[in-house]
Amino acid sequence: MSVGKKEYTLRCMRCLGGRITVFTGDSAARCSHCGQNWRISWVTPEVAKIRGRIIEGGRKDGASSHN
Amino acid sequence: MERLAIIDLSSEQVECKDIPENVQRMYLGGEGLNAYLLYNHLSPGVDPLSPENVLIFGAGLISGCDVSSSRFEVTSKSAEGEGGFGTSNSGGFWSAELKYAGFQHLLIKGKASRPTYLWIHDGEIEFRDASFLWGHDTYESLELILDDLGDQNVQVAMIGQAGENLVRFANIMHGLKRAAGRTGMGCIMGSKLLKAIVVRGKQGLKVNDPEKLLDIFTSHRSQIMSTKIYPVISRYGTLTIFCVQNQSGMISVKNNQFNYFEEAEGRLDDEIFEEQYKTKSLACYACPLRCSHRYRIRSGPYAGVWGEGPEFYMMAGFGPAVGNADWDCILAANTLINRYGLDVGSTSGYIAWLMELWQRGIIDDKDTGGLNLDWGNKETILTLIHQMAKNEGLGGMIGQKASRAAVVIGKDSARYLYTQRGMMHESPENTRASRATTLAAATSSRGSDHLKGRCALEFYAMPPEVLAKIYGKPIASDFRSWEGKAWMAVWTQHFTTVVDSLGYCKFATIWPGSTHNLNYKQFCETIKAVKGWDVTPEELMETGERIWNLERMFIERETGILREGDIPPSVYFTPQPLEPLKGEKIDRAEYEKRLDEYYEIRGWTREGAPTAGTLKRLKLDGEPSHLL
Amino acid sequence: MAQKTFFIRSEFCSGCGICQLACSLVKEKEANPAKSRIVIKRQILDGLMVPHICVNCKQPPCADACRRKAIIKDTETGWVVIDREKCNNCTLCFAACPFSAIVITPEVQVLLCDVCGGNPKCVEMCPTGAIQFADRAQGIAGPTDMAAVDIWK
Repeated sequence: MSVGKKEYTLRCMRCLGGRITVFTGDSAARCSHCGQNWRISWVTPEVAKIRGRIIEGGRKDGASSHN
Repeated sequence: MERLAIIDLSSEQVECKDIPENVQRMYLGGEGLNAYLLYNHLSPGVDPLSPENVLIFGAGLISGCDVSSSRFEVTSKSAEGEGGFGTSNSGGFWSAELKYAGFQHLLIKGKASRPTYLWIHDGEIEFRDASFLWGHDTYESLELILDDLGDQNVQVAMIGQAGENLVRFANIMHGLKRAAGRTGMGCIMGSKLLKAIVVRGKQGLKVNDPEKLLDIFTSHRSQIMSTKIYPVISRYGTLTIFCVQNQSGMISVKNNQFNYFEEAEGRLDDEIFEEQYKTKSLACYACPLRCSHRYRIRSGPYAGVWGEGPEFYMMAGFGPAVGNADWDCILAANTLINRYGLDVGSTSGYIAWLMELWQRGIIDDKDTGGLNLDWGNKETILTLIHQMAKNEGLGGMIGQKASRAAVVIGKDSARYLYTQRGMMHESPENTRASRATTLAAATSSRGSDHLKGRCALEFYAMPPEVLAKIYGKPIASDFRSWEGKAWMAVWTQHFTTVVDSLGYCKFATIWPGSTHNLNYKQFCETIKAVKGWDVTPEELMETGERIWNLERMFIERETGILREGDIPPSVYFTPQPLEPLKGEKIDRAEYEKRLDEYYEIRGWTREGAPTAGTLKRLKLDGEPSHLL
Repeated sequence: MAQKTFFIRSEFCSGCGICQLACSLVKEKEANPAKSRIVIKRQILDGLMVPHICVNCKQPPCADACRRKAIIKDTETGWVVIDREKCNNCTLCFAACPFSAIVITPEVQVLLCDVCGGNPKCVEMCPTGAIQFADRAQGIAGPTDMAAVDIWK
């Protein structure tokens, strides 16, 4: 069963101004304002939130930041 | 007709009074009327822990009648804030229940001759022996009280061992996690040998226009549930704020030394809490937000620990502020502080301070009694909580001395202790980059108060038209700009004070940054339906201003500390080290200039005292007026 | 005509009591959960919140217990109602109800939910869907084939 993709607008937490548009099921998104890559999660099928940032190369201690 | 009960613990006498309408109109209920009662009933210069201090509980003016409005305020001369204005707010069920029992305010004076609890039910107030409760934590006490009264439907406000042991930042707990946390109200309660106030109300409330109230109740509920923030708050509660604060570089890491906590990525977030610990969502009375969580730790050294909470403040205060990224530790600490009845802000803030002193070699294991205070040391964090509550060891000294602990430790320790008016700085939010929030939190009555001061709409680059519409004046969109921010601070302080006087929960209002949530317009319609009064938003704002000024008069009378107490802690004037917002700080000279602007808006002198003209305009020139 | 009654999902109940406040405003014109026809039993230490409301039993024990035949089951709607003319508030029905759905007010008046004439306010106001009002030929649990649809895709 396919679900129509819904659009949702998030505020970038790094620059606090940049708006990021995501679509249902997206797990990552980039702010075009400041370039930060974010992990996205879905609170409901229509409402997204930022979970954390994607750290280039993973965390220094070797643990994955992609949980 | 709303009633005040004046309760004398020394003589076990109660005097009940109707609250005159003119006094209600000027001060509403909750914080407002509490402040009036404090100013009028407390003699100047009293020791906060003496029987002469008065402890005032106030339900909101409309508590029990609308959605999200079962909040109560506890007010006294502060135990933690060195004799200044003490006030704290709590949610849950207690406030509505007190109203249904026929009371809106309780003014408690004197000191009981033995541990006592008050049993308030449908117009009656009884003094009951609490010896069997003394020494028990709040969870045990709750269970024993339900058994003692044989009623599962009572609502309880109580202290734990921290209050009994006169810890300066002991709180008053209600249920498993609602708390009137700041300014040591639990300490005052403990000093009066008052263990708990238990309420049951079946009289209900007759309102002016019940049909209109039903419409308003229905429409406010829908309004709250249709905001953008609702799906997130109703699932993750305030934990969702953690990500915003951390990712935007506005969080305290290791006692405000840093402003971004990388260790949290993938380890400390709201979703992990839900996946691994949360068992249930619970709500306060008549609130659709259901932002409270029950949890259980399933494995590890604290397996089996259960409780309710935590809020953002707990997550950040026992997380990055103390260098900890472990959820188990935070939840174990949450259960402990709720059971003991300790304020989350001061408890975490003092632990963070001690850890920085350890880091800098200002204290060593002779001072700590062998405890290792490396950042994030879980056992130490929990041990210090036990010590504070029980008045043992290093933690015990902190609990008894609060900000005076810097004098005890000496050396350079005071430099890293961030307080205002004797109150621990609200450390988890490191908002030195945002101007209105900094100013509004720093100029609050009890000292360093984000619940009065947080200007959430400052953070989101809102279009100027939107800001102008809400605040009535031009406000800059950029949080780093000072333009319009002094006004924004004043507006916010009045707004939050009105909310705390009506009994609403701030999370149902525009305060957390949700522009479509309840605002002055909704408050006016509720007041009309409940009380029958025609009140305008401007009149409510002026009421907020009156209450604020009366609190300022109390501060002036009791401490004499005005302008010097309106300055944020020193760390705010130093640049933040990490991106984002690296280098951001408050410029001292600019702050002083904006403080002048703030005082001018308020009609205060440059020293920060309300002028005679301002007091006259607000009808405060006759205080104390003894109308109630 | 399809008969409807209440179905409860306690797991979703947050204990807020919006239902109780709404009911008392509708039925009693005052803000008083003690006079609401829906009761939330809150077991606070467990965090268990259980709504109790008349589920319109097919063979209501309350009607059997009533000596004055003051409790009637409407054959068309299926709803169980109290005839206020006949009721003398003896509270025998309260003792008979297996769902703790009958309420005794502080003034010792017996109250029973009358379904708000078919559009229950508590259901409208419940923020979580813990109380639902549905066709009693269907219930709300739904059919089993909703689970694991298309698992081989």
